[in-house]
Amino acid sequence: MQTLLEIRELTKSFGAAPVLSGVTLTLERGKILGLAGENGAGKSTLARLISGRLKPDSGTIRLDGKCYVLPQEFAQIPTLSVFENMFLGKEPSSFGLLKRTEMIRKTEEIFARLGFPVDPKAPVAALSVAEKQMLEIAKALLNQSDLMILDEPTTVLSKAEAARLFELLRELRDNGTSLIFVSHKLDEMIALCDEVAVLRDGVLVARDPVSELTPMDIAGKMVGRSLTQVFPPKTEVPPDAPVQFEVKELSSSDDVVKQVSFSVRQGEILGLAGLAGAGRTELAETICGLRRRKSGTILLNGQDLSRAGAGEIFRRGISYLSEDRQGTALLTEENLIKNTTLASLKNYLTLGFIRGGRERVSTAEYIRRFRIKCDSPDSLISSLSGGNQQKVAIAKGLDTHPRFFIFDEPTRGVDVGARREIYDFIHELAESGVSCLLISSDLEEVIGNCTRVLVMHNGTVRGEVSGADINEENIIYYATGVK
Amino acid sequence: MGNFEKLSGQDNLKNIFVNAASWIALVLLLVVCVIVRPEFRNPQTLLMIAKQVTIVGIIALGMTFVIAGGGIDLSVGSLFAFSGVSALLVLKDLQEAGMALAWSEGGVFLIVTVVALLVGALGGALNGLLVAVCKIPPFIATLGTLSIFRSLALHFAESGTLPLRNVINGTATPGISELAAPMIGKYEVTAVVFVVLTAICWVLMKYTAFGRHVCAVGANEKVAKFAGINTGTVKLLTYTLTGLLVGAGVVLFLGQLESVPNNAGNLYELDAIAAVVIGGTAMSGGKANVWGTLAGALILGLIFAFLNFTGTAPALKGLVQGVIILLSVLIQGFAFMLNRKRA
Repeated sequence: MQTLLEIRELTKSFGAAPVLSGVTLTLERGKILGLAGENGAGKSTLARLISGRLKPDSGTIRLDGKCYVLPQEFAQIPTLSVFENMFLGKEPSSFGLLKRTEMIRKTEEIFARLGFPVDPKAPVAALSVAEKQMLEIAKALLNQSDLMILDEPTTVLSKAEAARLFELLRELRDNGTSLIFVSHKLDEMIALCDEVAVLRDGVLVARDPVSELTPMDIAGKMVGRSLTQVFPPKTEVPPDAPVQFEVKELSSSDDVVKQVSFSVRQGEILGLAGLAGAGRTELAETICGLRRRKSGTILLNGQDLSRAGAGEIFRRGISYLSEDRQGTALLTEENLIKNTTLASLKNYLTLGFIRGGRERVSTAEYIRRFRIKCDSPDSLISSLSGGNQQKVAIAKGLDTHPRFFIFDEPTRGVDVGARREIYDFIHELAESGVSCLLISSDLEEVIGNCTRVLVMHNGTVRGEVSGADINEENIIYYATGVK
Repeated sequence: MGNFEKLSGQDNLKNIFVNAASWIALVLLLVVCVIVRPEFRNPQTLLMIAKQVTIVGIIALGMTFVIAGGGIDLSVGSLFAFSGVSALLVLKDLQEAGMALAWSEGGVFLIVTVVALLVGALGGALNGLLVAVCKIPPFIATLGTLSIFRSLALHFAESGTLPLRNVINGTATPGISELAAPMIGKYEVTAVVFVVLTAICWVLMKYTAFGRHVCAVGANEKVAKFAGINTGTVKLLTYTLTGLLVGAGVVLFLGQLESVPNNAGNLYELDAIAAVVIGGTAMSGGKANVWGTLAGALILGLIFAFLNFTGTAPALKGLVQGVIILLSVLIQGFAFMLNRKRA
């Protein structure tokens, strides 16, 4: 067997946090290797290092040929035709004129090989999502690469389309191409791959032939981290505490969220776990009226908010700390005051006029309470660190006096010190009777803070774990859909 | 932790300087004009300039909201003509129908005012609907209505000039002259109207939820949406307000001229946008400077007057205006970068 890829002692850090440490891995020609791991285990970083898009801190990568990474997001221009997209950036030309017929002919050839019945002259905008995915694969073929890396290629495909894709990938393998298949779908991994490697916290913990593995085995190898953080003592909710917030069979109109039901008691911190793409953020947005709802009921303290828009939702006592701090939570070129009162401005009006003094006093109070490090309430958000920005975003949500608070990745991009402060604050809030939903990709965070955890998979709540059953294995089993 | 209830002195000074940049420029320019040209030493000249910029200035106040909200309105000049033509046609119809009110001077003023404001607001609301509901990019939406309003004005004015006074059954109808024109026509009154409207817009922008929401939508529409702000309504209101102010401009215009030529308001959109930009409102949205718009309008008026007095070729007016707009945007960008570096 001929070795195609040889990785030795590969290490990469972003800032102080190591993402990959000492990864050693070889891959022969004509093999399909599955790459599994939790969110943040280092899968995507490894893929980017192999493709040369990132430079390693130390270690070596030797690749005996060309590598092509199928992008997770389609790199296609919808207004151009299929063949123009195929050759984008590497158009054959003579005397400055494009060789249109040649491009179309080559595209047709590759499509024939793929059994992909699409007219090369059709605009990409007219393609279905699955067809766009196939187009990406066709582009990879055009490149005649020796190694193809596919990062979650089946997320958007139906079962039949995925099966067709796998058939094709096996064909490629038999012709000598090697593939690395990154996925959360463990059953697919077993169906397709020859071997499966598992990353955990940036370390390659296992590599086994697929014949010796079950999805359960892989899930078991993905977890097993020791808890490295200290969390505040868990807030126990008396069993007779009344239900404060409830959703019944909630679906979004784009079907990313399907038939979700759950309830939260007064003062409870409910965890919501799941792998990337499971629909957690989308669920939060659907609850808040930021994403169109199809059906279902939303109840807060008995009042029906099923038809309420975002403005009414926030007024009636639901707050949402969104995961994208700079994109959706804060006006970065405005000061702390205007951000803090952005959703609660109505409380600062007298006869329709803003009482600037009261805004200032209130903001100063949050600055003291959350120990936000800033020069003054007039400082711009962009001048604050990530942790302090997050505290302002929380202050904004809190200023509407919520009864139900959704925290979506509350500690993403936040340093360890501020992290603990944010946990303490969430617990304080729960003790004061507010119900909280803690969405996190960091399993440790969910396990350390919650007494009950919902696990989402593929747009629905797949399972619920509570009390002593809350551990990484149980969550991952539900999250990967093996249980 | 420090005491945050008070602004630190340094911040205060810096903010004042940034916000007053256009006023400082205006004063410097005025000093230069006074030194170089004797005409500027006459207070009447200055009042005349104030009057000349009033109408464009009032429209620019509305434009300040639109631009701060991340939009642009190219249709204001055409809407101005359409609104004026509509007011005079309605008046004429009412006079022909023998309505007593339309034959009194106060009645003429009332009817013209109501119709001009109404048509202006409706035209603005149409722009707002196209942008907020139909999601057409503001540049394109108002480019379309620019053409529509102008064409309607030309059609109804039969490509001519509509007079405020008509002769019906051999009797001349009253104009605004006796009652309103002595007031509206006077330099001082026009200037006062401009300043009062600026003050109202400033309060609206700085001290109401609407103004705050306009800036939030302009700065980052997604953040505004995630804060529960109805971004569509906010945008609709900015365009409607602009239309309403266009209507107000029409009333002042009729008080001065007593007729509407079908090319009225031609290229007002450029002057209005120029005043807003010179005044320090960011073209990218999110930041508004209402008093700056007043200064911006005055700067434009001062420069045009200066060109007149020095006998510069009228054709070069556009050149100077263009250079000033480009300069102000460049300075804005430079100031922004400087700010970022320090932060």
